Amino acid sequence: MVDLGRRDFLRILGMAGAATAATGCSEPTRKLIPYIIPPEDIIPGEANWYATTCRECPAGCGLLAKNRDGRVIKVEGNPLHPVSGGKLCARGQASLHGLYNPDRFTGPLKRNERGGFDPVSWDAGERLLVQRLKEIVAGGRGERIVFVSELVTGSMKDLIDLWVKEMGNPAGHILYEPFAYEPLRKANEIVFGYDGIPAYRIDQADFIISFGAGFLETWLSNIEYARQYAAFHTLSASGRNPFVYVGPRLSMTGNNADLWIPVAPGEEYLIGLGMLRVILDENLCANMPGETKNKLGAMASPWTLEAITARTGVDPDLIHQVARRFAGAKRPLALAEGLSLSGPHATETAVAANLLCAVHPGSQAAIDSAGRSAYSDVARADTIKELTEKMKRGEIELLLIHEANPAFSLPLSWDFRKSLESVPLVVSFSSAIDETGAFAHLVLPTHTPLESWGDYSPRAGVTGLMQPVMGTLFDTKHLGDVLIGSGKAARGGERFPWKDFHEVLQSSWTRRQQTMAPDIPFEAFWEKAVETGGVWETGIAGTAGIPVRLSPFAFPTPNEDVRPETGLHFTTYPSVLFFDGRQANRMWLQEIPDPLTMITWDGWVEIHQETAEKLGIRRGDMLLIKSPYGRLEAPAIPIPTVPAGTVAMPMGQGHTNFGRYANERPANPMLLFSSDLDPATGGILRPAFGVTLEKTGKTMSLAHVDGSFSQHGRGLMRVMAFDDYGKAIASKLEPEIDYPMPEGFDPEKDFYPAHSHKDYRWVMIVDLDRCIGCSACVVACYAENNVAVVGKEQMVKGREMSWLRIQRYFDDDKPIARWLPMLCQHCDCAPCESVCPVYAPHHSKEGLNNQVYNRCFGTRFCLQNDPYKVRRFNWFTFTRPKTLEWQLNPDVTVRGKGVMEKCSFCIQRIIEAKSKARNEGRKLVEDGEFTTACAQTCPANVFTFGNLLDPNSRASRLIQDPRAYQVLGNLNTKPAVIYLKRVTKPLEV
Amino acid sequence: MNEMSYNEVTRAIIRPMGSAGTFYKCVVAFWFLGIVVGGSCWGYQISQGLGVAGVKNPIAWGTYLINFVFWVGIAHSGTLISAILYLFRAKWRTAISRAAEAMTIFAVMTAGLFPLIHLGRVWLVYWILPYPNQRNLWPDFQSPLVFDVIAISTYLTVSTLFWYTGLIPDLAAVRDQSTGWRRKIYGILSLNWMGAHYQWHHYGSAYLFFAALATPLVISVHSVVSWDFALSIMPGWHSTIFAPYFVAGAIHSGLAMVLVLLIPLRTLYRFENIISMNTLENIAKTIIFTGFIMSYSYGTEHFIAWYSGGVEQDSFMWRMTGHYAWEFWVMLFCNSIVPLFYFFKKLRTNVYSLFVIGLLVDIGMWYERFVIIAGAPAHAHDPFMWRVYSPTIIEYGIMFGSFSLFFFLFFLFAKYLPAVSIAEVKEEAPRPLRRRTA
Amino acid sequence: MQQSGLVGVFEYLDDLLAALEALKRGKSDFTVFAPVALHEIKEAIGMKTSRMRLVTLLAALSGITFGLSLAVFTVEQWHFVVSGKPVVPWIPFVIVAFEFCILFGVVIPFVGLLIIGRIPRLRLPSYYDPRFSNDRFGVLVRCGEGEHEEIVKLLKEAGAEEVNEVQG
Repeated sequence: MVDLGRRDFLRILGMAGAATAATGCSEPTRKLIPYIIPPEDIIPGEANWYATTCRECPAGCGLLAKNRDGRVIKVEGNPLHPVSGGKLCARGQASLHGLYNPDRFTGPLKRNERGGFDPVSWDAGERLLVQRLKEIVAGGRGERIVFVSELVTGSMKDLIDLWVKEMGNPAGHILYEPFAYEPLRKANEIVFGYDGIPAYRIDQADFIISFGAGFLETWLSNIEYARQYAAFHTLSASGRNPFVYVGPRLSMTGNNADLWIPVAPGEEYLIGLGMLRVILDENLCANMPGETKNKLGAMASPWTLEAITARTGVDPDLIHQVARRFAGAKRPLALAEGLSLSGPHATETAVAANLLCAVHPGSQAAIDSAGRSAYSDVARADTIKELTEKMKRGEIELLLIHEANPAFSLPLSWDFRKSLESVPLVVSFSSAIDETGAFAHLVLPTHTPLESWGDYSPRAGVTGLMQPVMGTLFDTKHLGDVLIGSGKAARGGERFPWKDFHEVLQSSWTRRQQTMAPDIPFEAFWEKAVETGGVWETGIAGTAGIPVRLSPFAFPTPNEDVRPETGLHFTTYPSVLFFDGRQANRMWLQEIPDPLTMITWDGWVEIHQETAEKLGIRRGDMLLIKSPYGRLEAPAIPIPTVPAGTVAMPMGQGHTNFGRYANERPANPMLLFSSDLDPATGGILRPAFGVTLEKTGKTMSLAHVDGSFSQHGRGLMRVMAFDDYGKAIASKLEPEIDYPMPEGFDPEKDFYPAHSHKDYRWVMIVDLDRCIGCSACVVACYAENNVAVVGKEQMVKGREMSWLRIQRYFDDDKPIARWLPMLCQHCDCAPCESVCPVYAPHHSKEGLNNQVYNRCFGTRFCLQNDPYKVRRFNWFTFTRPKTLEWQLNPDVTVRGKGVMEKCSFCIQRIIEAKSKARNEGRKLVEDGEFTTACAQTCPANVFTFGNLLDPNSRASRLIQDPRAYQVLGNLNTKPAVIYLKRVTKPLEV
Repeated sequence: MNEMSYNEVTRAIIRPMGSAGTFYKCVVAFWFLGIVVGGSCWGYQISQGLGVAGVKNPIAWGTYLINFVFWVGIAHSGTLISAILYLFRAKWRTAISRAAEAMTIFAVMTAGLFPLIHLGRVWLVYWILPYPNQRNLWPDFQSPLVFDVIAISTYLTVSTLFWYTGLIPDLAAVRDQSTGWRRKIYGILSLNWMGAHYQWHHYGSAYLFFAALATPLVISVHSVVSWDFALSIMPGWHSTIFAPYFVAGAIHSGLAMVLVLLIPLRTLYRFENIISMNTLENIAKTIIFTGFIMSYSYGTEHFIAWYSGGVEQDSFMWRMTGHYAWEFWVMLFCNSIVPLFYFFKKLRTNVYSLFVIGLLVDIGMWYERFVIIAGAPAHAHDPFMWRVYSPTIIEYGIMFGSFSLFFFLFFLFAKYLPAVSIAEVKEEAPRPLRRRTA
Repeated sequence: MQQSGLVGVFEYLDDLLAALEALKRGKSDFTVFAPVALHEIKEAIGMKTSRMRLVTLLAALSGITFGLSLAVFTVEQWHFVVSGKPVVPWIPFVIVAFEFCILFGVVIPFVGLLIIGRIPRLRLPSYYDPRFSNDRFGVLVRCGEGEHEEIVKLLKEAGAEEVNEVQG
């Protein structure tokens, strides 16, 4: 069975012209490179890169997977892909851990009487499924078969749809996503008459107001929007496009805004209405059709500015200002989260945002109706509700689940779990255990996306291809193959004429080729697509825009929309690291700190310090949080990210059965939600409710890595007012830095003479003005450099191993966080070097601060004398459980106990690039020819790695920027990591 | 000084040697057990990794370095008494120099273990030695740790030779007073010294030169130790006062330890007329003096910190008010206030008060090293990396082991070697003259 | 005719000194044993300053040279830049030189002492008396058979408790 799998895998790859991924083989236990006939384009020790598509979330970024001697060891963004553009987020970087998940199913399982699972053969498993199918279909009860999958499109969606149709339930395929954006879709329908979610062109906007839309974290397509945002927000001498954030919590996205307007959850729309009123009253948007204007006026009528101020406490002048700025902009964009999770009135907020776009023709131009998002087709919550009811009533006889986990992500009060129990046969195709899969009677584990063929279209006009980037690890099958097999068996071969899913894929791509490129042969078209990772229109300059087709909508009046009398405001938000929770079993994501709370390995409740003080709550106190619909326990963290009177909780933690890394970590906020539906949107109802906090008396040691909220005026992370920046540019101000080169030495303050470098002086420029805090770089560094994960217990003891960390400081006067990526500074006068008794750290000819692991015997003097504290000591021999260690990068030593380690500027990449240059007969590596892992993945291009001896390198140019400074430069260590100050530009009219 | 005859001196000093009583055996057994405990803790740490200790980012040096500095400090007063006071011809040192030197050697031995215990990969420790090797790998002689290695090993060698040289004539005396296999062993140890005039002649001048060289050495050793910190750029460490400050501290703690060791010895061995109250009183007076130096150093340290402001100031404010405030104030009380009680004649002539105050000073000095070594990195340049450290049970185990080792060795010494220098006491004793006796 | 010796045992220092005076006049070759180093004896015999001085000085100087050259040699082997210092930063090596100066300055003279002091020796000579390490002084006079009587007489007069004849 396994062998067969490998052989036809080889054959398929042969067809794809990518015979190389074979080398992993389906038997991991074999010798290193077990070729019988070595595939021609494999050179041991040299990596092969395969283009595929990331399926960690519906954004569908293009991936390049690095396959080394048969194992995929790193993924990076596909530079050709319009969504990812060569970048990747933390979750995308961690997709490897979906593949190498130590808790993956290694083969089919069948539930036994005792409630446990017994392994079965694929034949047995499939026989069971087919037999059941036959009975049901024969009995004409096909509509009692339902297939719940994550969001899939293209060939896979067609196949599943066909399959359920053949089984007799045309509507039997449910695309389940916890984030279905029903309110957003509803609002688009109301304002634009647009069914679904268009593509927002942030890069084309020149003013953005976001009503809770975390487009840098999880919203719709975070990498694409982060890249666009970087373009939108880029600093220039002339100015910078402003970004205003309205929301109940200082989210990572909100923290990047030039202005945060805090409001209670569910009251965002009032700010929108206020702006609308101002625009209408002051007639800021002329050339608006009169009746539109009247309609809008009518809609906004229930709320006067006074009423809004009275309710939200937001200064009317501020609303005026923002409104004027919005109206004054060429292409302003108003975005709303449109999820019923963060607070009540999600629809109202979305409608208000859309109305703002509706009054401004420029806004409509910045919205691309042609790029309809795949989210538009996700099943609304009411569909799931209906399914749940049916299951309860026993009207579902066969439920098939693929990578969907409603048992976790639906409100507990839905009783989805209970209703699962009343389904006679539940089949899970998921690759690893999860809360829903735990209820399965039969587990037929399918390939993970990185092992599979397939295609995915995140939005109209972009279709990514998926190809296996290595051989299958375990005794799994492709979902398509299982469906075809069972389909054939149940309904006969003529209904399912294909041999396997690869054939389905190719036939659908044949159709695609006939429409897109009829003149070139399919083989060429196909190979091109596999190479580039899919097909898409390149270079979309303009957008289709979006017309306004206003339908009536009534905002609640002040009497209808009343705050709950009791309790605190509650808001929850998708986690930048765990999305809806589906990535909570990735140890990297658990290990790296949250961008704002700096907590690892646990969930938490954010509560404003004042409120906490009043309630006598201290960090780590376990709180019992009660809503009218449920209760949960979570540790508190008093922090300025929420206004007084509001508590916030991230989604994604609180798993009960999701593998060793995710289980039993507080807490899942869905426990607090109501079981009702919002009739208007078909989404989960989010009524206005207050939560009460009770101290349980228990405390929990939170594994947070931050030593202080504030930087105590030490100017480690520096900001610069925009005006000063302008002046500095005008006056050609030289930055005050000690060059990590002979120029930087000065007899006035240097006792010893300068030393020179040979060919290169590697430096890193870190543009703090671009950093959005997403931590993608940190995960990339973990993946590239085999950085160990130490787990919560050691994290609490302060034994983190991260070579690169994002330091977070809050301003002392206002609630805003500053991020400072901190890594080894590769100083020219490194304090850590001379204290080592055995030269383990020393200065290389290229300016690197080398750390020789083999030579280190662990005096830890270097760490003690390192003012940046970026050195990491191996307190134990940290290991990785089986299969996770297959991800290790063979170019980087795995460190054992008693050895010091730290950022090496990805020296393995430097060496690779240098030998490449040598082979090509070039003396030097060209600027930008390669870069470090962190720089490679950063969606905002914060990092620029380069050679300071090359006067024309980007680094050499950026170091001239008047914003340039060195952290702790006063110590005269002459760091080679040069930071560019963050520029603040307060919103003014 | 005593009025004993040569013979009485010999008898008095040799009497307690040899025959071990049950009490003695129990005590020694207890210390041996302590060594076993410490050893097993260390073994466990080697097998698991340093994570079993409380050290972390960024406080990578814990009790191991604290104890290292503490023991090196203890060692110093021995050399002070035997060498420096010898040069100054301070007669009162005679009775205690031998024991003080023994204390020095055992303390250095104990101290020398800690750098090994604290290593991440102790099995590679020989890499720090400049031994010729084919790969041509050498230590870096710019590293303060290499200074340490040279200084400490020199110190151990020198003080051992100095001590042994002093012992030779006494061993001969013991040899001549004993019989059988004891006689053989002591004979070998004494190198069969005869006390011939030419031997005494060269012996005298050699001993003088040893003293002369040991004096700068003892100053240098603790200066070098202090440079482990002073040569760094960490606030609370890189201070020019560290060398004298550490040396004074070392002698402060060392003298206190001398009291702690000698007062029981004096009572048990009935040495009252050899180790006179006057001697103890002199030690107490010296402790008052070193105590003042400590107070001055603390003052200077904090003043300079306050004067330089910024990170430096912050670090010292935190030292006084932050997480380690309790340790800081214990340190200050024990090292600066407590010694002042010696101003009262009653207290410095009463063995009990002498003993208790000595003990307190030693505790204070241990906390001083804690405050410096754990406190400074806990609150350094980058507020994001502010954390606090506390020792684990393993560290306490090893610490207990180190004290056990020290006392174990000292007890053996006190039982099997002349605890007071016979020859030197005789020098002080009245010459046997016929004219006077007749 | 083979040499033999006489050992006079004295209880009192002044007796001993008197005996030494006499012996010096007699220009005979003698060795004094004492439980303690007493300057009176030294003066009575009139010894010149010990060679240990020179030994110690040379030893200390050789230590300095060794320390410096070792440090310089090793850094030259690596030729690394650390903390932006030149390959041979002299300042730190002062400490190395100093420590080696002390080390050599003690170890070599100690060996010297053993050699000059003619220790260690395998067994004690027959003329040695255990009391010499306790409370008695002794004088060993080497002389031919013929001079015995007068030496014995001399010692006795000086106040020797006993005078014994010894071989070797």
